Formats: sequence, structure tokens, C-alpha cells
Amino acid sequence: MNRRQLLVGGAAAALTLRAAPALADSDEGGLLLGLWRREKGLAIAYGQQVHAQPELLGPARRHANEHAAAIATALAAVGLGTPKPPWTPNDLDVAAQRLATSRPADVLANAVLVEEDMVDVYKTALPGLPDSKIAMTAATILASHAQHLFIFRDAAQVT
Amino acid sequence: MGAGALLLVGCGPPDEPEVDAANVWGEQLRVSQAALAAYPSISLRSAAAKRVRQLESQAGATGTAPTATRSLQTALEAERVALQAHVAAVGELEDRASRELLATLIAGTAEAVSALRAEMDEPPIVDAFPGQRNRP
Repeated sequence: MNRRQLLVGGAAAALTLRAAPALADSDEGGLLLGLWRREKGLAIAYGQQVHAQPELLGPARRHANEHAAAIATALAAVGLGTPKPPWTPNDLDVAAQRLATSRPADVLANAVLVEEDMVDVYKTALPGLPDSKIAMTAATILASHAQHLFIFRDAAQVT
Repeated sequence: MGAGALLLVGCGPPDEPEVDAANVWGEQLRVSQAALAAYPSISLRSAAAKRVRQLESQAGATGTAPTATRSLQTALEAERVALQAHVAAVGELEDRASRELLATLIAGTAEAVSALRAEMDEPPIVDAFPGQRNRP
């Protein structure tokens, strides 16, 4: 199955629901807040679906929580606190909400889409992070999402 | 969370030396060439070659192609070194164009690390912060 077939077969509707802009603010603190919200939302979404593919989604949820914790440390470094976390799927960005509410047959396809979004989000954010150590932390998180994208594509047989 | 991730924040030296961008890019090209030279003839090699070409076109980047024993294991080790170098370069180069190219290289190299591990029947992901020094 190629990517097009997968999307047509299971998640075509999702194509019309691209993720809401996570990086509405261009300052460093705003960028970090957007990244933190995306990671917390992703952790909730994976948690909602972890029963479907525990060997894949369990580590992905754990890593999203670890990423959020690292970003919370960066928020503190720029003088910002950690906001109240999202709690239900209704609190999530569009991409995470789509994954959280997926039918079982669509979970992997939506995991691919949400990780593609996360890779794009971090690629966009990296030039906007002036603190070198915060930027390096974001770079390692970008690498992590690229790896999760690889394994989800592989599992979904997306080419 | 990984302690290393916490340590990346707010613990830099007070007076950092001026960065020579040409040297940084030269190092990125060197490690990527070393990774490419270590690949056996598998499909993943073409993506590694593309990353080298991207670096060769970067202004100021120079280097000579190294030789290496070709195997999945040596390619994996070399790509891990390359990923660490690319992440470190993010801390040295702040301009938008550099960060954009490094982001592309980091995503591609991280994927290559997982793909090589998968080829070797190893867990493709072993860490939440790949590319940190002194971590898998």
C-alpha cells in the first residue's frame, strides 16, 4: 500500500483537517508554549489509542511526555511557567484530536500524519529559537519525531 | 525525563568563542561523508548521498571523501556521529538558513539511524532525545 492508497482508504477526510498552527507566536516563549501544548496533546492522543498498537504507541506516548518535560524546563529557563495541560480530546489541536478519536483501522495512518506535522513544526521552530541550548534540545526532539514517523510509516506500509 | 535533556538548558559557558561557520560546515560535511562511505549497497545509501550533496552545496563547506569498512554496523555508528554533530551545530549556527538546512539534515539522519537499526533487527528507537552526546 502506498501513501496515497492509505489516505484514500482510511484517512482521506483527515487531509482536509490540517493541524492548527502550533506556532502562532514568533517569540521564543511563544514558540516554546506552542511546542509544549503540541507534545502534551500528542501524549494524550497516543494514550487514547495505546491499546491499538501498544508496542508502537506506548513508547511514542512516553517520549511525547519526556519532550514536554524538557520543553517545560526550557520555558522555565526563559522565565515562563508551565500552563495548565490539555485534559480531554476536545482540548487538543486538530492533528492530535484526529488521532485521539481515530477508528482502530485509521490509527496508524493518523499517527503518520500527526508525526509529519510534528516534524514540520520543529523544522519551522528551530530557526526561531535563539538560545543555543534550547535550540539543541528542540533539535533532538525533531530527531525523535523523525524516528517515530519512520516506524509508523514502516508499520503502515506507507511508501 | 532524560537528565541530559535538562542539562542542555541554561548551563553554557559564560564567554563563548566566536564561531567559524566554515569550520562548522566542514565538520558537518566530513561526518556525513564518513557515514556515506560506510554504507553497504542498500537503498538507504541514496538518502545519505543526498545529504552529502546538500552539504557540498553549502557555502564554505569543503572536504575529501573518506574510506571506511562498509557494513550496516559501521554505517549506523557513523550516522549516529553525524546526528550528534548536526545537533551540536544547531547550537553554533543561529542564522535562519543554517538552522533550516540543519533541521533537514537532522530529520533525515535520525530516520537513517532508525532505518539502519531496523535493517539489523534492532529496536529502531532507543531514546527520546536522539543526537545528544553520550546517549544512544
